[in-house]
Amino acid sequence: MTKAAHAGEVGDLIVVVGHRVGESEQIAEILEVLGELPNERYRVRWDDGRESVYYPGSDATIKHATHRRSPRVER
Amino acid sequence: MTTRSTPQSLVDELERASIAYELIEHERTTTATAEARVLAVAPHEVAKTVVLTTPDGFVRAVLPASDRLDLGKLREILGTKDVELATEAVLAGAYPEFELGAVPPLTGGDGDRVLVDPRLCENEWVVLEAGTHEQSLRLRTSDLVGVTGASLADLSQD
Repeated sequence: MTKAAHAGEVGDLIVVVGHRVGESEQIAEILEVLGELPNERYRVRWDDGRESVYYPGSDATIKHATHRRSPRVER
Repeated sequence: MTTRSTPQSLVDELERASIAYELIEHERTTTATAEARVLAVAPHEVAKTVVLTTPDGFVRAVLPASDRLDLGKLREILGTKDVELATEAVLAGAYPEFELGAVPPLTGGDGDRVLVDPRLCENEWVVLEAGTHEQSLRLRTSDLVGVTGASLADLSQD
């Protein structure tokens, strides 16, 4: 597996595709950029609220902040 | 007690191999089942690594946290009866970069043979202790097998 080509910035989203049938993509927001290229890793918050340090592989795409999702509407 | 950070050798090895990984901080746990509980994942998705002494050096047996190692099967796989669980004193000497009881399947040691129970491969991702009792490493099971050069072997009690 090779590393994702594009560096991310705080506020960008990382989308990790599912590798198995029925597995949905995982999405995380970059909270902090750690390390330097080519080995940048990120402190992220995943869709389920979990936070971790993530080092992306080739299955991860970085969507820059202009593509940020709309905030959730509390009902 | 201060939080012990993940050994640099561990993340260096993964980044050298361009393997995607996730480091997850959590409250201190000393068993893989407790680790699963605090991370809210199923015990069969968390791997525990058991270090064994053999005449040919250390072997690391990696199996689901929910399973128990079958030493009889392991002795049969390794072709010797001279297989024992490594003691804490031995572990402390052989893996000083890792906390006792938190030896991961990769890095450290001296080219240890790694055996992975195929039950772990039923999950795409696996969580394991990252050399400390306060951080976990999550990576694809296939990457774990690849980066450790592990052989798949039935290690768990039936």
